[in-house]
Amino acid sequence: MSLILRNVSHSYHKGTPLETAALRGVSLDVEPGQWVAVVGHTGSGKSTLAQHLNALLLPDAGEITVDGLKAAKGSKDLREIRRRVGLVFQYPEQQLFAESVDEEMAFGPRNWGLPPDQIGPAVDQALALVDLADLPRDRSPFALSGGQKRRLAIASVLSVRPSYLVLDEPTAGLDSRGRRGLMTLIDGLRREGIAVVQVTHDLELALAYCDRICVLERGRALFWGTPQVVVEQLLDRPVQGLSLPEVLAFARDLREKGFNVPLSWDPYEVAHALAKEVG
Amino acid sequence: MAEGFVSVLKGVRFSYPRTDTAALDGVDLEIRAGEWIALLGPNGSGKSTLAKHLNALLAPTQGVCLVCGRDTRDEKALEAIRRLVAMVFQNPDNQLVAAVVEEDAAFGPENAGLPPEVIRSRVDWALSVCGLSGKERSPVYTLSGGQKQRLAVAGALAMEPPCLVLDEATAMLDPQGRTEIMDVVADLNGRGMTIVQITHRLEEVVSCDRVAVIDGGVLRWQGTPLDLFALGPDLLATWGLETPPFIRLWQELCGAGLLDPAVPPSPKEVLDALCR
Repeated sequence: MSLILRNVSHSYHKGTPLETAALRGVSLDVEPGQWVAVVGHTGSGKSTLAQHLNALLLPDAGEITVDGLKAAKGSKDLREIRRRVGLVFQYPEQQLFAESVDEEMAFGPRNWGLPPDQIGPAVDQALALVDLADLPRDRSPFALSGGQKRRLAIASVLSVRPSYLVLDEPTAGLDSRGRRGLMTLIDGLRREGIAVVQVTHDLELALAYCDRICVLERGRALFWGTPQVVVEQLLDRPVQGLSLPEVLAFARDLREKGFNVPLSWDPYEVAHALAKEVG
Repeated sequence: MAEGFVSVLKGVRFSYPRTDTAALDGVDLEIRAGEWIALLGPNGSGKSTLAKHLNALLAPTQGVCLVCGRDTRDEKALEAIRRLVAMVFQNPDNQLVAAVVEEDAAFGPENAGLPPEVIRSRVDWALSVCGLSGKERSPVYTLSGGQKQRLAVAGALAMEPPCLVLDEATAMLDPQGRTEIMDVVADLNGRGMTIVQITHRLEEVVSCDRVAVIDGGVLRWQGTPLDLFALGPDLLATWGLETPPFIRLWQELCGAGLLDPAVPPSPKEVLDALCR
């Protein structure tokens, strides 16, 4: 049971003079309960990759399987793949449309053909997952705060009980409180066994929260691994448009000046090492 | 450029129509010529509402807001006020009006009926300040997010306003786009332009002159960025503000006596100080 990409390539405007390769041979594994970050500069192929994960886009070359189901042209499994892999676009609150929270939430399960008596429980469960269980159900989604709207949009995707959740820049525009709240929420999803793929250009956020990081550059998966592994690779080989966390870059500069500090992005770790060194 | 510019808010209260709570609840603030002030606060704190008072997009329900002595409730003063204070918003796609870069930057001066040669020189100047020289004839849709936002700034600059208000102008940009905008802003302030920057990112306020924290529609605190950081991460967190990791490192080093607090929290300066 996992989401597997093998050598996936995708080009836009194929066969025209405008043809551009957005993904070039990307391989990736996402296991149940794992929190994976896809990090890269604008234009690196992050969103294209996200849209492959639930078969919204299909690869030109390579292979994608979701729990053994094949995402390819003509595959009869595409519908089930799209249920198992929920996709939350950037600024998902812009897609809210219904007159009440209940209507908004029931739209997905109803469309997926869930029996009417199961829709209520599915909606309850999804709202509980995003900490909106107490929301009055007759409230207009448009009367909610920005952070609530975003969580409602995520809940509407969770209402069909996906095993994987893909979020494109989920923290964009949120303040630090909202950002931390959302990270706690995602952590809770993963404890429920849902695998999360988070597309972001915030390397610092990915290092702080995610289990595995995939660094994209011009459509190639340059680095893939745990935060520590990826950081070592990034120090060896900078990636276009992706700046190192300030503390990490500072630790590297300190080492070059002969200070014995760890290559860490944790400010306290670096400060304590420095105190021992100098003090 | 900014000579004599001043904006004064006294006891400003504002409620949006059909709401019971005040978005601004008695704000006193003075913005002086040539300063770079940041308005900080969490989502929903009232900071954007305050920003919109500065160029009379909103007028106080109670209290008064004066821009160079002109009352923002006076409809006859609106045009003059908006020439004094230009605004750049969060989403570049919502504020660009033309299909080609130079036409977009020329929109303001053209509407103001300026002579063509003046329009030309202002557009050239604004685009060059914003690092868009050479892109004059590019279609707007070919620009990156950061370039689009710089074009929005250029459009505001073409009216030569003494004061520029940036309402979360970096929020939708990637890190590189954010740096590009901040570099332009620092340059403009260096040329004497008054800058009001609305943000919830503390990384962006390190080089500004003054910080005002707004929460619940009330001005909670004012001071320099360094004094703000010195309040400590816990108090800042109650205002929804997160101390950037490098600032925390800098605080730890100052607290441990390894670093003179007079050394600004920039990696380069701290490194130089430690090597001394």
